[in-house]
Amino acid sequence: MKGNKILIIEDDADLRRGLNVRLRASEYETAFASDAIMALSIAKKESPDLILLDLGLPGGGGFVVLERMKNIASLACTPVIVVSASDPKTNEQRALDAGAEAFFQKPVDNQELMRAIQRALLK
Amino acid sequence: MNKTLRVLHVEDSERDAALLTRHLSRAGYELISERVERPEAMRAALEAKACDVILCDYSMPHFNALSALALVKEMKVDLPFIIISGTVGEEAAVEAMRAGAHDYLMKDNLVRLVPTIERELHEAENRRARRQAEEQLRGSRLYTRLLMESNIDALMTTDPLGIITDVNQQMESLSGHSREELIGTPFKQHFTHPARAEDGISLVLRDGRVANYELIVRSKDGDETVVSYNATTFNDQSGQLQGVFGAARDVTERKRFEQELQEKNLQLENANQAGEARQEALQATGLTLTALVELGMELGSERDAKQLLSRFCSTARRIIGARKSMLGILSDNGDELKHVLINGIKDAKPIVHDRPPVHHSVLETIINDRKVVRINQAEKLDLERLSPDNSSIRSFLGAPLMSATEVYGWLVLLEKEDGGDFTEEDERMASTLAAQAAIAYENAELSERLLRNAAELDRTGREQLEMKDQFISHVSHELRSPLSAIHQFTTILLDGLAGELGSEPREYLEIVLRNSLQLREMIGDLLEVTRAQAGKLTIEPQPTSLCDLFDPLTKTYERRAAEKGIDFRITCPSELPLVLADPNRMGQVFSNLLDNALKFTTRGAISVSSRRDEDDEFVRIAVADTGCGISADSLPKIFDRLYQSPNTLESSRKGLGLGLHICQHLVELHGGRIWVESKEGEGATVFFTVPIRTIQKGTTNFEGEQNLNH
Repeated sequence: MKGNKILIIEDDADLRRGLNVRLRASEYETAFASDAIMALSIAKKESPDLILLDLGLPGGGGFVVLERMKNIASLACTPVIVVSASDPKTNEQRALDAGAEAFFQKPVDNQELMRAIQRALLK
Repeated sequence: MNKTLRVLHVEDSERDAALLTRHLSRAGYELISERVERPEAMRAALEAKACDVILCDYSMPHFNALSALALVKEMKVDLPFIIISGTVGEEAAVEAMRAGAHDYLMKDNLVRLVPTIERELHEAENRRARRQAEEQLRGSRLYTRLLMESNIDALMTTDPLGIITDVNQQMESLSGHSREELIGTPFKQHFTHPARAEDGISLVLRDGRVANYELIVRSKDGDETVVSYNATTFNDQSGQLQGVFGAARDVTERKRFEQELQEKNLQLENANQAGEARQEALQATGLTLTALVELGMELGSERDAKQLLSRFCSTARRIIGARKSMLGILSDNGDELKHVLINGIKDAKPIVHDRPPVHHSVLETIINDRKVVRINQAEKLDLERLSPDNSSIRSFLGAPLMSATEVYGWLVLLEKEDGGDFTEEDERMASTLAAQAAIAYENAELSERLLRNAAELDRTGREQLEMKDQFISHVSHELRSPLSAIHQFTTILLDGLAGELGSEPREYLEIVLRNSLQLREMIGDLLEVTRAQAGKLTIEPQPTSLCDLFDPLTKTYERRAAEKGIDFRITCPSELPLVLADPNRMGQVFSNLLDNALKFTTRGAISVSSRRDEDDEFVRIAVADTGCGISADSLPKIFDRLYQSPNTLESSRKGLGLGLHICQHLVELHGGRIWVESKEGEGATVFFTVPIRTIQKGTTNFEGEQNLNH
């Protein structure tokens, strides 16, 4: 658990920082990407154990990132948790169908998010 | 299947452009390509509007991608802009994306070229559609306004409780109040007899419409105007009642006219009674008067203008005793005939247009002088021209179809049945009949126009709701990001992740947290209620145990009630049948009702109880509190959208006023109903029902009771 690396893909700098503080406090390592283009190359370079993915990203959007990740052998099995401001009624099922582990709507309940991360890492 | 794609290459290398073209051709595109490598040429190409997608090299000798993007922005062109480059690094690519490029691809890896173009074409189409929809919305609002204002009648819309929501200028002048003054006031208060006005609204709500309902408008200065009120209800997309659309026509003049007619008939009757010698005539008049009354009733109930006229034409012939009757309705500009109806001859054809009978001097007299024309033993008047079958005509009786203000056409009777003359009696009768027909025709036209207007309002209303739904979704999405940061950093501080906190800072941060959570609820409610209005709120009912549903709620609310020193209990009898409900939505209803109860109760108890309803079709649930209660004035309003209680305790904030409205919507979606009983100062109880089995002919065949014994 501890020491696992989590990649935060989020274009909002404040939210990126907040998640970083959270995850560091639980002794995870972190890496960041702020748009869809950087996301894939950073993911390939860092090979994280789990990815937190925002949907509204510049340069293609989270769904594009998710789709491409699932087509890259080294990333296909990395669990992805979607954290988005969008409406779960329209996007939750779509995210799960595209291979995400879970969907959280912002603002997230941190305890629940931490539990979901632990669960995903245990798989 | 070939798709045409117009590509603008911003590229200095002919070879590279050809490479891309080959790629796209292989994917099945029919390509129309143009290559430019300088700003002027690109500008010209964009002005010609001859491309669907821009593929741009990152750097060229005379141009580069960032300048090309600036040009695109300057020309306000919204086309997919994709950078294709052999050299660009990630940082430069990100910079280009920030400047507005949609994607970038490497020249040596063009696998994504086709999917990227397809995706971006789709996105651009979406953006275009959204812009267009926004413009349409603006247009349709204006259109609705024009529709209201162009009407000659006083128009108003009210909500289902009879509160005015919109009026036109005619209503302003009739009532003496400005639009701003009228909106928000009860409809009934502008009438001499408010109770009658209220009955009118009840009739509309019961039957969906009301026609020719007579009312007296009372203006600010006390002026009274008799109006004929026609109204229909209008609904939103989901069929939920939105309000009443009504038109009031000034019939003061018509009333006077009708009264005169009545008096004349009375005089006639008296005159007849006076002379014994006219006993026979009296009898005949009595008969025709009965027929007249019957006709009046018939016409009053007829809605379709053309059908009405055809009946009228034959009845007039029968009552007066003529061989033929014709009825002409003028077009709106008054110099042509819109309809001609002929009665009393075989194979009647409408009168042909090269001989429009409206130009016959006799008909012109009727229309222009607005008077009855009676001719007997005519020889040189060229009346044959009027006869539908060119037979000779000796007697003629014609009357204008005339209301107080307008002439709609004429009624013509040809050839008295017994070969005799049309009498003065006949003349009076024709005049009365024509006046009756004019009134009925006017009403039928009004009613038809009203229906058209209401349908139009329905349509524009639906479009507006759809737009609003999209707008609110967008806004609530954007609000969530900053809220999310507030929430995250507040909890980081409260969880001690940035060091120990003193008790005072901790208390303040808890206030920030509480408020941010409240804001989150509000954004959710806002989205929910907009979705409900657009008819997009859906439920997925399934057999549900209420006791299971109560379980998690009990813990949360026991704790919250205990914090306020209030008792809390939920009772759920074990023999309670399963209900057909969407568990998430039902939970939402409970949370909303319990939050409300907590908000308005400072001491005593909150209790939830449930039992089978008497009719055995529903479970009835009661959420009772011992709070400040609801005044009799407020009771009918508490389920309204945006209703906020005036009794909100100082310590808690007013909400958006959407909670109960959403509850009502959700309960009704399930097929149940919700109501409240309360006395001010003595607490309140909200009741609602949830069906045990499928209501009406749903798709689910499940009957909750079968699974009762578990």
